[in-house]
Amino acid sequence: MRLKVIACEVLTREFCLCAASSPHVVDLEFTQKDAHENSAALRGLIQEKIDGASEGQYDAILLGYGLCGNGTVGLVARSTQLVLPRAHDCCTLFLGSRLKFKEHFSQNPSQPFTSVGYMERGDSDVRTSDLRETLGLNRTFEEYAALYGEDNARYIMETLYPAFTMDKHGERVVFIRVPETDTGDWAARFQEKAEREGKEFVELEGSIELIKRLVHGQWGPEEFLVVPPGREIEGVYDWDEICRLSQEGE
Amino acid sequence: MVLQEINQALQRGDVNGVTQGIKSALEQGLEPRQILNEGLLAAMEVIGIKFKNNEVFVPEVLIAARAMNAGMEVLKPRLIETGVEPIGTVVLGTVKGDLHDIGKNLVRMMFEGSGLTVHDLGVDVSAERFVEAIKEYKPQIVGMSALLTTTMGEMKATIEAIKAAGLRDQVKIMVGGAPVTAKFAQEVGADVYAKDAAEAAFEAKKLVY
Repeated sequence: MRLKVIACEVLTREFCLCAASSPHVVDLEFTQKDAHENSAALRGLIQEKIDGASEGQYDAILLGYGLCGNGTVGLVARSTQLVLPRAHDCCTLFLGSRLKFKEHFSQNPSQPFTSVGYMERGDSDVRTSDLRETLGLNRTFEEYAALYGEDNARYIMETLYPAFTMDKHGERVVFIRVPETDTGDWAARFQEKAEREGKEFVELEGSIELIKRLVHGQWGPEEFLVVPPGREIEGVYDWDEICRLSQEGE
Repeated sequence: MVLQEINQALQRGDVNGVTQGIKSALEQGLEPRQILNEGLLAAMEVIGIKFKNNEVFVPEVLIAARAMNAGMEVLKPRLIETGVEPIGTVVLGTVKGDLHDIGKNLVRMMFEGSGLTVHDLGVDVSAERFVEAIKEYKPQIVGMSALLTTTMGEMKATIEAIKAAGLRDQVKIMVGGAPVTAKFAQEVGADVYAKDAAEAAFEAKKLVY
């Protein structure tokens, strides 16, 4: 088969490794990590790349994402089928199974996680966010004071900023170590930072197997949603099915 | 004239301007209800529209809501004297497992700015806690927020729990949050979907009036 991968760049190492050993011919294309900040923009970006494949060029287009905040919900397969892992986000792809994701995250879905690929791409360890800027919260106290007066500036800082920080003392933070792509001292650096900030560092063993099965063309229905031409992806928002085909005509 | 001054002061988040303006309006013999509607609520509505249109951002909404609350402190005793009731009560929270509160806090601000009484249950709110709060505060509206696709399912679980407690007919349920859609809201049996804080306030006012 000739396959096209469109994936988030945080998974670059894993996809390249699996493409190298795949029995199929695999073209790879990656989107930037910060594209996930805006799900409508991410959806537009992926759809544009899907639409860019001409008819008959590929046997399937493989999506290296999860629901990603609905960034993949609403994507439409044109003339080529799409394959999407049943995953909420890249955490499942790093862990290698949605069951493992459920096991570790169902009791605490907000728990931050990271990996080598996540840390080495972009300037933040857990997640980057331009949300502050979007909401007009990227200013300093002095800038707020100049705009709204000191009293209001103090109020803005006191009221909003505690809620906007991800740095919660005592919080658990997870590093997912995928053995095949474990490189550099990222885990140690993350652990050191976590301990300095009073957080509990947890390391989980990841697995490249889910990505491998995707790139090697082993798309069992338990793990993957295959989207035939003309059909659209819909979210399910549970821990097992996660995504499905939307009803025809919707 | 003084109402216009109150309105403008509120929009720029000028607490003193709002409270002084209300005091002079009362001294001039204006009706508390008129001060509320034309001075405070009208100004918050402008802020809501500007926020929706990306003309103002969170800080402006926050300081306007703060000025609104300061104004209400002055006006409330007079409103009660003249028999004006709060327009409605809302119970609000981010669902179980979800610790995100930016959007929910914005909704709270916009609700308060619309004259609604808000009981904010915070984040990681279980279905049981929502049910208890409905019994305790007897709200007209329950608002739920989720930012993760993993926690959206809790909205359904909470609505089921409200049904099981026999309280579903007493409240209108509103849902929102980045990954939440109108279709999802319908599927889980919510009454209203709001795509942002300004729309939430607009829809809430429609529900209680």
